[in-house]
Amino acid sequence: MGMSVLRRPEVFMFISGLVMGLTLFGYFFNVPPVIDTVNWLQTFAVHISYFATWLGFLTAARIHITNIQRKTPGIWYFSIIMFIFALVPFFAALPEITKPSVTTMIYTWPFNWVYTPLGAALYATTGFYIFSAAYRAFRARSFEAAVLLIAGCLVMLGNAPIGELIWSQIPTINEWLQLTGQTPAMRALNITAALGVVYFGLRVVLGAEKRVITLGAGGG
Amino acid sequence: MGESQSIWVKLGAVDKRILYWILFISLAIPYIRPIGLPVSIAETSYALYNFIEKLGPNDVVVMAIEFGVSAWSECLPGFVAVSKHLVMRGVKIIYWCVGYTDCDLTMEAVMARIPQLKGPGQPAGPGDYKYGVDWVYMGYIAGGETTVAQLADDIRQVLRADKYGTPIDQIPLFQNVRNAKDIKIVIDSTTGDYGDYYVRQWRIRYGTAVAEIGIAMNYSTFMAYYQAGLAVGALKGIRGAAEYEKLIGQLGEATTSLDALNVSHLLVIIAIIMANLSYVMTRRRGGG
Amino acid sequence: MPYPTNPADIIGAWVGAFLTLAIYSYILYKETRVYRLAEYIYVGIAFAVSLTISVQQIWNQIIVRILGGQYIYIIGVILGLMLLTLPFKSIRWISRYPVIFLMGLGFGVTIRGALTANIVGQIRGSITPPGATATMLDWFNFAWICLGTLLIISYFTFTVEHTGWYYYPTKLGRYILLLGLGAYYGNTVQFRMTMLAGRVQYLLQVFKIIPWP
Repeated sequence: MGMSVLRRPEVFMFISGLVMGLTLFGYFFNVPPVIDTVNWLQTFAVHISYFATWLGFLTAARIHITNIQRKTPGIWYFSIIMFIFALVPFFAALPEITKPSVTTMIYTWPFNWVYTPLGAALYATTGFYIFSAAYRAFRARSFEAAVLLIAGCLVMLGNAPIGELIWSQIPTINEWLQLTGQTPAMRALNITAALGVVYFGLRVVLGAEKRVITLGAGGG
Repeated sequence: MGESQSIWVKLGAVDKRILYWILFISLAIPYIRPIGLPVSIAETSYALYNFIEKLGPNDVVVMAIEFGVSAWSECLPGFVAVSKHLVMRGVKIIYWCVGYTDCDLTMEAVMARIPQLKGPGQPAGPGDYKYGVDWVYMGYIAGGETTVAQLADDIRQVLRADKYGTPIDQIPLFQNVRNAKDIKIVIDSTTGDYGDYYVRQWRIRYGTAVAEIGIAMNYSTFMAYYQAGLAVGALKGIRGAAEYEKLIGQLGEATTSLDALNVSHLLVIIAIIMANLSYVMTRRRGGG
Repeated sequence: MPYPTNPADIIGAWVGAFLTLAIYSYILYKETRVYRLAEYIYVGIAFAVSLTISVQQIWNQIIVRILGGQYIYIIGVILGLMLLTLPFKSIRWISRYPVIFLMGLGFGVTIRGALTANIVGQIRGSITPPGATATMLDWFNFAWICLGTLLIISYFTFTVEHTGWYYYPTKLGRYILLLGLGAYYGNTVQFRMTMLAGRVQYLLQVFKIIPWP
């Protein structure tokens, strides 16, 4: 009985409403106890985020352990490699956790020479896709598409110094597009997205978003 | 007529791996044979430069490292150029990072490029920046907008000590710094939404000036704030970094990287033109 | 900075270059086991780094304070541990408390900033005319921004059908929106290409074709 009360959607609605209400109240009204409470709530939220990484790891670990147990063809040995590279540097770094920096080479070497270039390489792969998309997909099939492509090309020419060599007015056009031309679009997206956030936040707090409030509230 | 039609069709359907190789090899050429074209300076770069020119040794600035090592190509040169300018002006600097775990490497890279930034325990000569007095590095702080908001309200609630373990109350730079009201400007270099967070939580709530010196995509979204007077300036990725290097009179990595920008942008524009030519020609010949 | 001289760093630079090429083998050739290996290695090390930093933060920002007598910080630990019940089906409901707490606080924090910066600030910026010394271009820019924003918002208003007289302003708003998105695309290309150029530069530096920075 007690447990089922703790899982009721109304309890979650109350908590989210209370926290959101306090935060907004503390912003618009100068009431020191409320502002102090909101400061503490923000501090606890930061602390929760320290644990969030573990959540990602636990979820991924379950999947990879399943791969290893079932010996999923073509994947299970990679899962073992993943665990080795995850756990060995972590446990090597643990004794130095209380120090300002971890200096053991078992941690720092993979971080400097594997994680860093691999992360940059993965991040940079979209450059290839942008180029192939420009060649194969960006066709001006309509006037609207032509507007988008022409604006894009003018900005690209303006961003690269060679644009100025091609036509001396390119920097002026680029400056106008960047400062003024695109502002209505960005501003409108800003306003509409902010209205959406306010609207959705109120819906969650008022319990209109049942999926969000009840997800997992029934015990999974 | 049939032959030329098939050429256009073939051109439009070329194996994308050929395109990737063309791009990959073309990008290498400007590094081997640099060209070095002049760069004109945007209004937003001037605006940020002029703002920092008015700052001095009594001002404290936050430089927020909101980008990972993956984004060094686009963000690091601008970050270094602005840091150099702040050092030239004698402004006190707080470096921190909200949300990106590999910021220690970025801070090491900045220190390697700005020799005046002396680390903890290192002697500081004339013109150098003494750690703890002139600059400080707070390290990685987990979280998103909530953390940014909490830092604006009370830095000490979030940070107990700097990256090297020195309690915050023992750091001379933090004697008169408690929250956003004590900071002259937040200069944020981000690949995500942190610029918006600082505008919402620092600029609006405490009036702290904000500038964005991150990736070019964020430059677009930040223009709405700049035009509304909510931001004092912005740099457009590597292009903005090259402009800033020119402004402070110290050409660096950004300027040398612009040649690759020339090649890549020309290639993309040629690709778009070829794609549309192929489309028009195949349509004209009956869509074959 | 010269080329690395420490043997461990030299090996590291070459390993990094090899792994970069392993990642690009998928794009330049096809998916291979080498690519898969590089991918899984990256995921593993990313976890190692994140977990290490997470434990460091928990120690430095929470445990040290609790040991110093500030017992209120235990609340953060309790909420964080509650979050970790999410992967376990039978006790998953416990994690809803910190999630809902984060959601409510996140909305509150975002809304208080969004109302002023993203709504009021943007509207004020759109309707504030230029000053007395404004030129014709300044007035044109003001009209462009003010009317353009209004037209694009009208385009996004789907509660009114875009027919009849309402069709033309929404169509114009659509064109202005696409102009802005085209400019955004141009900046996106710069960002993505710079990232890729950086990797090409790194490979050239490791292979000593160009100097190390």
